[in-house]
Amino acid sequence: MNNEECKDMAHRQHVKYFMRFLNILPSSLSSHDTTRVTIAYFSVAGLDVLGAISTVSLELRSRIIEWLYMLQVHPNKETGDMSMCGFQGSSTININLDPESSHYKCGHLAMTYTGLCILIALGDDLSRVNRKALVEGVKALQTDEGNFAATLSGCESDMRFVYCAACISYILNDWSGFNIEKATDYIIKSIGYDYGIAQCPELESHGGTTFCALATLSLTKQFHRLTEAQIEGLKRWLLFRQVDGFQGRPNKPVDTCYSFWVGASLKILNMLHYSNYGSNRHYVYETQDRVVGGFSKWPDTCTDPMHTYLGLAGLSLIGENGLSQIEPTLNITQRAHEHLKNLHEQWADS
Amino acid sequence: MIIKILFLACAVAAANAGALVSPVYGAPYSYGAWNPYSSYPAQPALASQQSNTYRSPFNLGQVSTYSKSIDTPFSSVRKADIRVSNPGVAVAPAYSSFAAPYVSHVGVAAPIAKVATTGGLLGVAYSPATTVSHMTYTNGLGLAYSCGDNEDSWILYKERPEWSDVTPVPEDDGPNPVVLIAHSEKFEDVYDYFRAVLQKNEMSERALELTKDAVELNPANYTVWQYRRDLLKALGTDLRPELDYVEAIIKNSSKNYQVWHHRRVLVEWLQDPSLELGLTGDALLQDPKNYHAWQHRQWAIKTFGLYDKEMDFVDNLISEDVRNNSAWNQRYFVVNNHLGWSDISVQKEVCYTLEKIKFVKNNESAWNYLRGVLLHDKRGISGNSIVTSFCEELYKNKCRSPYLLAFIIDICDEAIKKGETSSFHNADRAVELCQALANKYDRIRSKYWNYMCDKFKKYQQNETHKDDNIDS
Repeated sequence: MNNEECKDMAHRQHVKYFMRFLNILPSSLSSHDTTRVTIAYFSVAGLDVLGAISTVSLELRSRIIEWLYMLQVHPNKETGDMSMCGFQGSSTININLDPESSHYKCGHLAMTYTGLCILIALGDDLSRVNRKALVEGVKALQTDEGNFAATLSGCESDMRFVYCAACISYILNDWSGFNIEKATDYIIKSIGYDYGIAQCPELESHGGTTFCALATLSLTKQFHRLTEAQIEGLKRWLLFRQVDGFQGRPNKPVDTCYSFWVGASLKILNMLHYSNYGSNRHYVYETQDRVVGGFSKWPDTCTDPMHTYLGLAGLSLIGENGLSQIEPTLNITQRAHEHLKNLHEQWADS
Repeated sequence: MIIKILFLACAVAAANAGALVSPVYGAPYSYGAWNPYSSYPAQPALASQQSNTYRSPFNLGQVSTYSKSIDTPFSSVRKADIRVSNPGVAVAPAYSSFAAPYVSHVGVAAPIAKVATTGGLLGVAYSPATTVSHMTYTNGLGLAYSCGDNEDSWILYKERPEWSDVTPVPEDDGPNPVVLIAHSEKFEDVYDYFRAVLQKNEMSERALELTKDAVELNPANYTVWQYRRDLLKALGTDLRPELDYVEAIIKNSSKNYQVWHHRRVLVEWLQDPSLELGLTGDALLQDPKNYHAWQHRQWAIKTFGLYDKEMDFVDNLISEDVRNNSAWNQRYFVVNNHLGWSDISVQKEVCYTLEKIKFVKNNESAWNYLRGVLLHDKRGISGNSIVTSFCEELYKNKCRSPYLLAFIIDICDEAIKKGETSSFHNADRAVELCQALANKYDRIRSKYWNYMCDKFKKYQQNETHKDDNIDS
């Protein structure tokens, strides 16, 4: 395939691609068993950015919504404890556990965040979300350091889950489970000597975690806590990630997903228009599979829904024709964000 | 029927091949597993892929190559992709005679000066055409079931007499599930029994063994790991063999968050970090930029004060690949936490870094480190004469690496802000360098350099106004 051919969007194929993942997946994906909600998120958010959410039948839409609500962990009936509340990523252990093992069944911040995003994109009114319980679930996961663990059931804590917790708090319009000051301290401590931001203090700066940190600062309105040197340093570090597409760290290969992670970070800093759209676009299109749909991290490698969604979202950020606009902080479409804002107004009125 | 075919596919394709870090979503993205054609079982095993980054002499440009070959009964595909970054820089006059051959889009990936490899899709140096990892462990019950080696000899839990007292608990995915995974029969069987023991919170040796099978089928299942840790505690199991066990899993899934977390908890319980530098050292030998390995290593060093030999480790990695940004980051970590930023230490680090820049000029990692070191120099980046004269010397010798020019711009910026401009470092020079970057040496960022240029033009105007005021 020569490069001239790949510069346009195989729109129809991508719609089909996501529809396939919403239905049935091969056993080769068994290692994604506990994170099925994220696959649903990439697919639904992908259809949304393709402007194809209306092609999801009412029947499928309600199947997705019912399935998600089934994964919501409710407060303990006897004790009223809400610390485990949130969404599970799959039904792997969604069974009635005996009281002594009930603590294994708990929400996971990445699944709660992506689950809520799916519900919003599908136009659900979140009326069946136990908002108070989810906020308590978020609260239970913040550490003394200010970052978050993903789940109560034995898990590391880092910048990814600071971001997920911030998105959940924003979506539920309730920050009582999120200590903003502590989280901001953690983010500032994680800024490296090169001004990129790492997964935790003193680790290497990384495009994905820089996105998580900047989106959190944006959602919590804490940019004033950064110095001018830090802001200007971040702009430089992010723009230097562009090779043709973007890389995640200095001296690493370019990868489609960073067109979103780094692109959205730049967008949040109002600097994306200083990057080179043409090269970025060209790279992302080189990773497109025009025959069966999907994008991969590198040209001519295997596609997956994460790189497909993030590739599309990255293209949307630079104004690609035929794609819905993305709200970079939440990583949902602006259409979905408008729906969320309406919900917030309804909640305020009631 | 479709499900049948998908079941077939599992035996080969379920290889937990190179997991890639996904920045937010927690799950490893395995190469091959997402292939829409994976109902054809052998395909992933027949695909091979390479990606390398080659640098031009004097390292002013970068050539990345990707090559891929896939053989299926239906087709053979060979594909190579070569890209060049900053070709404008690589043909800088002084070096053109050397750089030219590598600048053009050559048809074959010529391994000229292989400086850094990306570790491939597997994140390790194993052959990309991977097969199922085989692990056999004898269990405490004196029974050994082969695990992975031969699917035919695998005995389902529901057929094992010693499990006959347990009623399997099937997954309840609701009446109309979506993103349904067509798991293998083995997967369903193992997890049906996992749910059964979890539900009753059974604390037994056989449950401990069962978690190994559950882990092998899905090492990303954090509940299985947590349950396993609870079992280890309840049964008072010797944790030393557990370290070996998790080490074996790490070797096969070195980019999986759960396995590293398990390791960390074990080390915390044992309060013994003596194996951690070796373990992470091995992982970094396979992939010197493995984020998980670095994170675990920093944690162990920080928690247990293992700084003594870390600088040697870092030195080796930087000598092997001067562009290893992770290693430079680790260097900063060691100085910051252990050696300290005394004046002597700053000067030592400056000299070390300048040597490395002399060796490879267009290396962002080294330039960034230099900036980081100078954060601890009271004179800033504009006041260290060794650094400023080094930069000017490079510039005089026609080096036009964007990192050098950007650094001189930053020196100018600081000099202006401090009111200490000189004939070398002032707004005019900054404007000139920004323009050179925008138009010639770093054109991909031309808009950014024009934005920087506008900032310095304002300083120029201010300086002019100041002059006006003095005149009047």
